[in-house]
Amino acid sequence: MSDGPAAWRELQTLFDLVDRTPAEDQESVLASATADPELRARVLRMVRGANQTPEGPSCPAEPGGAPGRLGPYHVLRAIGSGGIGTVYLAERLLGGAPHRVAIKVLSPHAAGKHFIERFHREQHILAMLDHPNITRLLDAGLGETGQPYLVMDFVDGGHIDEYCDRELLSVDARVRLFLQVCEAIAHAHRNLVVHLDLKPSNVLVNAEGVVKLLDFGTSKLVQPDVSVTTTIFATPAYASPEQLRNEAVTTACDIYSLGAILFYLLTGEVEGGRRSAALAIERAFKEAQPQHLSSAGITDAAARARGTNAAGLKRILDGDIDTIVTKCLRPRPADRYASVDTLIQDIVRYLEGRPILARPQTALYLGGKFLRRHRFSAAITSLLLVALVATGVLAGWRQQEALREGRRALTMQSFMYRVFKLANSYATGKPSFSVTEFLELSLRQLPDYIKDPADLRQAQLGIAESMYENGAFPQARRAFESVETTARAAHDTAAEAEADAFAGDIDYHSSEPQRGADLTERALKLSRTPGVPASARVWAAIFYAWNRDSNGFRSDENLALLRSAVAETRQADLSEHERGEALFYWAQDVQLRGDMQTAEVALNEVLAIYKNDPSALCQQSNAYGLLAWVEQWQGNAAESLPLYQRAYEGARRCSGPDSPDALQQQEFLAGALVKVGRGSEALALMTDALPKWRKVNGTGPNLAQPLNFMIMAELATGHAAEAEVHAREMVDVQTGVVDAHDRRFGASQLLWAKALVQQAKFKEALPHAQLADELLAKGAVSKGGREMTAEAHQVLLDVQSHLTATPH
Amino acid sequence: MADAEITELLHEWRAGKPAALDRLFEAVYPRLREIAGALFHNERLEHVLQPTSLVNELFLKLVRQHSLRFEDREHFYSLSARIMRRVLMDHARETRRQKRDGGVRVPLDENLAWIDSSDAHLLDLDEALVRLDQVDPTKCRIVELRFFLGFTASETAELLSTSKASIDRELKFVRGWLYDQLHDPELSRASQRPGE
Repeated sequence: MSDGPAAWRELQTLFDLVDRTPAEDQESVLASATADPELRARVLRMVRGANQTPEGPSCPAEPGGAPGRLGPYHVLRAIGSGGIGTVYLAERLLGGAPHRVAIKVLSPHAAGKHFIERFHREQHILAMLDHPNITRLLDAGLGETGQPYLVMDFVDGGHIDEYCDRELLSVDARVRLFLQVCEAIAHAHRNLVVHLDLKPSNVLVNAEGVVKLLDFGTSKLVQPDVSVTTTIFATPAYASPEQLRNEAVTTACDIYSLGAILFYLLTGEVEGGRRSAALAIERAFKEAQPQHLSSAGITDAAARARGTNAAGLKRILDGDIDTIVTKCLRPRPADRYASVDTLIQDIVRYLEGRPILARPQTALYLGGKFLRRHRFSAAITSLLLVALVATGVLAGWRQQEALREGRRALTMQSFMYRVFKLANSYATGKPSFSVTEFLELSLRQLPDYIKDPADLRQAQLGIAESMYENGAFPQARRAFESVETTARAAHDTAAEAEADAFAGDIDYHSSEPQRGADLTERALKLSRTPGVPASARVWAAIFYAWNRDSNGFRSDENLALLRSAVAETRQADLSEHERGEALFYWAQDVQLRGDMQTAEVALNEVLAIYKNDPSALCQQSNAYGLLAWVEQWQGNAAESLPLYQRAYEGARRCSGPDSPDALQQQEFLAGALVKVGRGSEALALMTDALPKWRKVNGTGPNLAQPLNFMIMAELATGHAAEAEVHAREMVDVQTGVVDAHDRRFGASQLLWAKALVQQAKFKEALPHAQLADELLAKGAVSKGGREMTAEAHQVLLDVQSHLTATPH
Repeated sequence: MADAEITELLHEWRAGKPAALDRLFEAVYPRLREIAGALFHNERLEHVLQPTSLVNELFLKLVRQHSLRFEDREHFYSLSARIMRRVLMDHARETRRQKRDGGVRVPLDENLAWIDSSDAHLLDLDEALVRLDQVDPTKCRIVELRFFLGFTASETAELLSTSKASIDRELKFVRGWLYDQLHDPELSRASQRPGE
């Protein structure tokens, strides 16, 4: 026989030919292809060999079979093997009714010290964990030949992936089932146990649909913040990159594996297509970014098992669930969810159709979420605007009106459909769409859909108010003005009052105090007309009274108005949001009057209202900020610092890190840090905030505030020359705007003097110190104000004594 | 062997000198064999001698020193697969010599499940592969990737820039050929060599 190249090619050709031929024709086909009987026999042998189906598992069961009896347990049969032991189904013989258990016995060949240690570790860990989704350790002992065994709950069920496919579970149902796995792991992590070998075959689901996590044989006990390395490899397809690189393991490994399991449950494919260990390791070394769910090779069969078709499944998997899974699968542990609990929160949010936290929220995204959550309820969809703006300012009666008319509900639904469509990046040509742009678009589309003028005005007010909430004052102002014009013509007093109240408040914000005073006064009068709803009355009162009080027209009438606004929100059973806002303005007003105790009580009530409302981040941040100031005013610098921090964090999350709100809170936080002696942190915050502030607000008198905190930070860190430059600028921006006798002028002169003193320029400092002392001598209301008075006097005395001591 | 030398050999291999592969193999093999030996003694083979540990070591050795670029994947994995094969076969040889109980259970792919994974049979398999390498080296590489490194058919196809269908066909032929080589009494090992 020859195996030369030609013969080898012929062999392959014949093999392919025969292999494609039905068995009964193979001999005749071969006979006509070659005359060589030896070659014919050989090809037939090869084809039969190649098509032979493997017999049984490649790893036969343990030699010796089941041990028969272990302690009080009667062993029925082996139900699995893996790792370092075999698992048997057994019954308890002694006492009570027969009870089925699973017994894991350490294999005799694995009887080394290392394995026994590992076996005991599993026993120890299981004993610590008591959770409905983790198999319970019932007993442990030694067999007759001294083999250790563990007795656990017997779970009569299948692997989670098989269960999902058998039950044809939808994506949502799979995610819901997966939550139980997360709960089990969250429990383990709380007990400082990391599992390290999470994979579908370690997760069983019983007949009742309850998840039971198995096999803690690879798991480790970790100390918080201390990492452990492991040399035992988990299943590569589900192991985290750091495990595959043999690096330190932490709870983040389990989060990665959870993501990999969810990926598999949802798509039917292994993430990254990395079934072989070698390629999984390559991905781990490359720190490859996770694959997106919808880019997995989704088959029609996989889609059918999830109750949809391939296109439908891809669409479902393109949404938030993809964001959640990819966040688990990030190659760097720090980029994953910080804990299983935060993962659980996002999954719950996903299942409830609420926005998840794993990515920045845009209007389109939030709006889309809302539509999805309520896609089955046309009536509720009609309230989309109300909920979208999430201000709660639209009064209850509006909702009832909307509920009355199903037809209108449908109109609203198609309206929202159109707005979302137009806001799509394909239609706008922009990669993203801001909240304000979205609201402006809605405002323009509204008249096509709402024909009743009164309804139209209510919808326009809702949109204008959410523009106001988002700080888009010019756009909101225009919208309120337009509502006011049509409302006045139609004698719609309620809408007119509300529009005037908001427009007036915006005018106050926009340095138009006279116009603001006129409009809010008008709003207040109109709101007292019979038939105007309570919410319009509350807003009119708040904007009228607060703006007057905070602009130098302080009166008892204003205080009484704010008090009655709070009372009205309680009596008229208005929304929590309105009560929170009324209380907040009340708190602001009483703190302005120096009644810090009352302010503190009111602010704590505000925070209690907003505590569980994720849409009230801005309001929370404002309340924390004011409470911080109230504490600081009372001289409690240490108490105020964490409150400033919360206000700052809240403002960044609510309005964005570079928003005026966040910048202002950043400045206040810097000021608080200076007060507790953390000047360099303050300086870093201000070095970041000041240029941003200039960009946002230009160089008007508003710049005085950030400059003030900048100078404080500079003085605290010995940057006196820079402080001097900034102090000069601070005085410049105040000149001509702030009253020359105002304490604010005194404050900037004091800072200027201190900057000069720090540079030993006493002669130059003298006029500034004198002016500061003069301006700050009177009018102090707060503890801080009185301290400043004293400080100004002290600085003057110091400067004078230096000049006397060193005459030139 | 110094790391610098390994880098040099890799360059030569990439530059198209096939002989460098053999020298490269000899350069990295002893260390990996040592690791494999430690694993054999400490842990149960079936559980641990997945390719994971060894491939991991190889990565650490080559990638971490930046001597391997990921464009060289094909070379790298061919090398790894061959190392895996050698490690397993050396071990089988050793245990047969020592006549220890239990023997070695090599995690052969289920496609080869009909091969009795006893030491003697494994060595027959190794000799058959030596013959295959002489007559058709590409097929031998496919077998090594598939059966010793655990590559799936599609992963093998991707690495060798071919289609999964053609890998499937090649594998089926090889499976038949190996069956014939290992089961035909007339073709018992060492009696014949391809091309003779």
